[in-house]
Amino acid sequence: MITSARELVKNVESVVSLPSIFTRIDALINNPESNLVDIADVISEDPGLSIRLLKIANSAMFNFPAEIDTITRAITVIGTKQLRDLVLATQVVLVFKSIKQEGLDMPAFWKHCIATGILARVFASLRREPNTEYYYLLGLLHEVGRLVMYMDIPELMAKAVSNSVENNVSLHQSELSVIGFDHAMVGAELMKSWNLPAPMCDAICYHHRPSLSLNYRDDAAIIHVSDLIVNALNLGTSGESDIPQLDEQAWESLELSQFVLSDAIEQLELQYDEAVKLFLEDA
Amino acid sequence: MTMTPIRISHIKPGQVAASDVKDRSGRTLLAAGTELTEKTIKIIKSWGVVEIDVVGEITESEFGSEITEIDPERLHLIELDLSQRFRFLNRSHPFINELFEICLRREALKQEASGDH
Repeated sequence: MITSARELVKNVESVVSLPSIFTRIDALINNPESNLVDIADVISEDPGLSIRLLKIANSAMFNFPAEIDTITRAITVIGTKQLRDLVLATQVVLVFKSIKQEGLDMPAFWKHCIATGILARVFASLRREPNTEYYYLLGLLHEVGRLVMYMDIPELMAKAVSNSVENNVSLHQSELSVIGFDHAMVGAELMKSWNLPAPMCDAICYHHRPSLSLNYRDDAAIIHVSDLIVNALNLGTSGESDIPQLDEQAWESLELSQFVLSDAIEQLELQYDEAVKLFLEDA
Repeated sequence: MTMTPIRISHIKPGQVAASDVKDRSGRTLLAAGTELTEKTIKIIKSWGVVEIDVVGEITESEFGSEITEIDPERLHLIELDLSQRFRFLNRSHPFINELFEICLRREALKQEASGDH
């Protein structure tokens, strides 16, 4: 019997292993002796990834005036830090894309994650964060724990779902009471098993209760708020049929006026369709 | 006298700032008591200001003018449905209230556009 999020992740480790291309690119980016061509070479080994990167570099996300037709150029435009996050995002989607789960609408699931990512990026730029792609990545990954749970403990998840309906609580609350841990914790454990940095694991772990995070409260708060809004707007679904509770302290800590909401949502809507197309094609 | 901040797009020229208008870093752009002319509003908007405390009562509802086309009964149904989805939330919180209004408007406009019956 699975007793913790960590055990659950250990169980699925072989199935949801992160493709090595990410680790290699990450190592190159972190190595001061490597250059753009080295990185471009690794990316070129994967035609799917190459095409995807070029598309992203040429998309409305970066608004570059001229067409970008080489990987090295794409890396220059996107920047190596953001590139790393983008590669990670594409690889994670690949890992989970082929999963067909009972009771879970996968395209809808990804739409929710993509929308959360875009909105998180919008809030990050409102707060003048330097690496906004990082927030897109966090948004994209914040709910993968739920996928792992559906994969490995589907009967327990079904129990959690019916419990949430019967007792009028959110699915997230239900996970905690029925299973003993929630998708945020599972997601964080998965990130850890992939050796992703602590700030990421932390932000994902606490995205429902940002105030509990010791060091990465603001990041968790951005994801928390974005996730909540995307739920309200009904863009895809992560399994919650209703809007989860707001951690009011988290909202306060962002120091944003509620009046930025309509512009932020407008930004989200402008980028949403294209982003969904980019990530869900060849599914 | 009300002190709820009003969103900048709803400010009418001639209204008066009830408190100092500051930019994101806390620097004062306009002193309390300054009249907000069309030009002034434009300038502070370009500084990223999204809301201002104004002197006087707010008389009209924020979104009222935009959804008058909708059949009130249908609007009420949308509102009920939305309230159900928002039931775990504190509706009087300014952020939640704003989100609710936005969702209400979006859904109403969407139904109107698709000619839902």
